[in-house]
Amino acid sequence: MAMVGGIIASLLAGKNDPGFIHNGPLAGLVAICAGSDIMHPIGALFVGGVAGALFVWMFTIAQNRWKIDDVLGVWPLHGLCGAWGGIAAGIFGTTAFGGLGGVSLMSQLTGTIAGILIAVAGGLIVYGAIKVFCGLRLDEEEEFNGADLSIHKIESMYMD
Amino acid sequence: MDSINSAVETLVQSSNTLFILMGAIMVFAMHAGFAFLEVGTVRQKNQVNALVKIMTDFGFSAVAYFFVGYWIAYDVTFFSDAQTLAEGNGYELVKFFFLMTFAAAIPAIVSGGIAERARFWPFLIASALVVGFVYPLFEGIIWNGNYGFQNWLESTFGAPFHDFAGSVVVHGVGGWLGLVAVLLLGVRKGRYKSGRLMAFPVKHSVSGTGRMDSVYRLVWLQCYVSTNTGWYLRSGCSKQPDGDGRRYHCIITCR
Repeated sequence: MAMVGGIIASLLAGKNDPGFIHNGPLAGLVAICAGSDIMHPIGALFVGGVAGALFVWMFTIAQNRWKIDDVLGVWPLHGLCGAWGGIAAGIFGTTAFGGLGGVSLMSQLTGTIAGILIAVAGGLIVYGAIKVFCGLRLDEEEEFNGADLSIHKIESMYMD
Repeated sequence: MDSINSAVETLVQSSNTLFILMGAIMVFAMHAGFAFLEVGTVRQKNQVNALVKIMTDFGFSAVAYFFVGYWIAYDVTFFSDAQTLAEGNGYELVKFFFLMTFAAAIPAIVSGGIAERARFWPFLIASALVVGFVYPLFEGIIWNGNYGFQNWLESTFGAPFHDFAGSVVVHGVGGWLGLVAVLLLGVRKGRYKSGRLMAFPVKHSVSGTGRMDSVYRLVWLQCYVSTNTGWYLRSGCSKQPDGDGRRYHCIITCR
């Protein structure tokens, strides 16, 4: 049901864009992971729907306004929808919303924030250190020629 | 009576192992989805690299997780003799394979964000470090109760942090790691001109078919995957009395 929610919400929010429609179900599935064992199917539908719309909006804002060149939108899709899923388990997992209960919204919030902090800190250490020691980026010419040719000495066939 | 009991025990254990093995195979299939999505989204001059990255990242992740990551997260190593490891239908090994396919999803997620401009070897080394240290640190805290974090949450707020199949543990961590990598890398050349976004056309005529095709495959694969990721982790199969009910409950909530 979360996948279904993601499909419908991304269709509506993404205005028929096929890329969004195909990422919407993924957004829903990412978000449902945390509470998939305790939520009511209707709750799951809602959680997935929110995730689908969240992805469309945040991907657009991150790309156009904040100029974050995240090629596949992994931060909005996995980072944000994942965080939403962690929090949503604390809302829709409760018996008040038809879930099986045994969750605490404060625990979900704290755990989610802890995960984000560890990821950001770990990322800064690992990627930061490698950037300082040997650099992360292809040089301009390599980037222009494409990673296939520059790294693997191969080109895929041009059909168009 | 004893022989019946032991027969039942063997059956339960081997079906649990088989169950997790099926789950692991399906999560493993998600990596094909990651690969297809990236191939379908990048420009043609980077497509081979996209496929290669998903495979090599998996290789490095598996080694890092086997020798270091799993040890950090679950305090389990595989240095005893094969005889010991094969005990109980190899349940522990299969469980490792299952969790390893999750761990290897982290660099696969990051890979999609850094496409088209990242150097190959530096990011491969980064993948090994992330799967060897960063991911298992948090994984162990949440799924193995390491460092008393879950106990503290339970005594403070009445319940531990509930993340059945990894919204935060896998996707959240991967997504935020990806953001850091993307920001440190900077934008692709020519992506923005005088402050405006430039379209990087993935041609919709001929290769367009290929693109949609690949995205479709991703959706189906990942659908199977998340369904099934829900299945195992918490229920621990037989350990939880309502395990079976929950497994199938998850299929409905996911789908």
